[in-house]
Amino acid sequence: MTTIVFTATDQNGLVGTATCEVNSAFVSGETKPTADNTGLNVLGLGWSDLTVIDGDLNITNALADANNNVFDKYLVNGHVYFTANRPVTLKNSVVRGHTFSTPGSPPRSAIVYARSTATPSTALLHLIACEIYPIQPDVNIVCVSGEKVGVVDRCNIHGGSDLINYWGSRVQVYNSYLHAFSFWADDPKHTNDGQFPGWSHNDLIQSNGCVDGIVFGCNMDVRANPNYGGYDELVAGGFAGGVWGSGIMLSGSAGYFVNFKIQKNWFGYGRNPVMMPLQSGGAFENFGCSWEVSGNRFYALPRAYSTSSRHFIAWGLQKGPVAASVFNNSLTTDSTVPSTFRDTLLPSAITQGSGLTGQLIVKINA
Amino acid sequence: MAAPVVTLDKSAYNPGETINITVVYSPRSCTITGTDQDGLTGTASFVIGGVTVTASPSKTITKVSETGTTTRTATYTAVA
Repeated sequence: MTTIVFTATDQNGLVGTATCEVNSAFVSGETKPTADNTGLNVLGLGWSDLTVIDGDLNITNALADANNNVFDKYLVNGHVYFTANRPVTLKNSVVRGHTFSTPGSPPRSAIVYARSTATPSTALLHLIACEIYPIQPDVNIVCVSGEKVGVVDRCNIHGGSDLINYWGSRVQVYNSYLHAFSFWADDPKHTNDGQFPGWSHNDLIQSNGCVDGIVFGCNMDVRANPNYGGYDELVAGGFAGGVWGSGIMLSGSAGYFVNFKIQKNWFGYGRNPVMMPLQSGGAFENFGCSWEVSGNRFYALPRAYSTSSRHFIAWGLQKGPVAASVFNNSLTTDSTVPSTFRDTLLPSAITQGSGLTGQLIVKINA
Repeated sequence: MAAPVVTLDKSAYNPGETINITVVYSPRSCTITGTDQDGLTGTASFVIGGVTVTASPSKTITKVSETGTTTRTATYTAVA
């Protein structure tokens, strides 16, 4: 932050002053994304600068043509529904859905819904400097979802049960602030969970397989929003502060993960902030290769798995990324890190278990 | 005799944004100087009947216009 003082001096030597602040320049991978430097704040906009759409924004070919494939400065009091067959960018906008009468039955399963397997692979919806959240969180609403999700950059995304779900398209998330997911204790999708039946499995970024994926320079605060859903049950179940879920969940149920980079992000809390392919089912699991997980900074410990075992990064023992590809990840100097671990490198992964159920885990005991 | 009154259109800016400055003063001439915490400055001078602009290389008052006899506006490019 730079402070500038303006002085006006007249010919008699009388002086008037005014002061303002100039935000620091955002440097990708060096500036930690927050609510203050993502979304509308990238350009210093307010809601009064936006064109209001009361209802869904259906981005069809015709509407994309009419807008030269760029939608700029909108407040969408509804969902974004993307069906165009070419690249389109939504930027400097707020998308927040709308209320609905029956919990569990939202009008769409995502606030930004870009699901299609019929349009070309180049038909992607890019999201730049947007804030995306549900005005009515629900167990069946995520923030962004689809086969056609493209680049996400400088966005502020929160409140969904998941935040960004890539289904097959290349994961490309940069410089975004991902936080405050909604936890649910009655998730019909997870009634078969052996340990916590019905608890939602919350991920800030999830993919089921892609080539050349990258998550760079993001800030992922992996804690549930205390104002919605089953937060009280989560806390009562032993997860104080809503510390639960994953920042990045790569579960290759539909394709290989090839050349995936997770670099220079910030992670806080969660149960397992970076979770990569395991071997517990799915035709393409356990085949990650050419990966790199480096330069990531952890500013608060994950919730312990046992009495003190804190798992930061975990992946399948067989055919996953080699241990040497996971390096230079560290704990920050923040007060939320125990003093003995501040400003230290995380250790190399250790092997836990063997065979198909074995894992490599970067962890500490704290 | 009153001191010049300086007002800005916002209190916080992002790099590259324009800071709009308005100065109301009563004598014949006035100079605006913007100075950051590192001492870098940009300067604009106003004289009734004409406008003079001077600029520093790193932080520049880029434009000056007249909106009244004793009211002048300037813009300053925010640099972090």
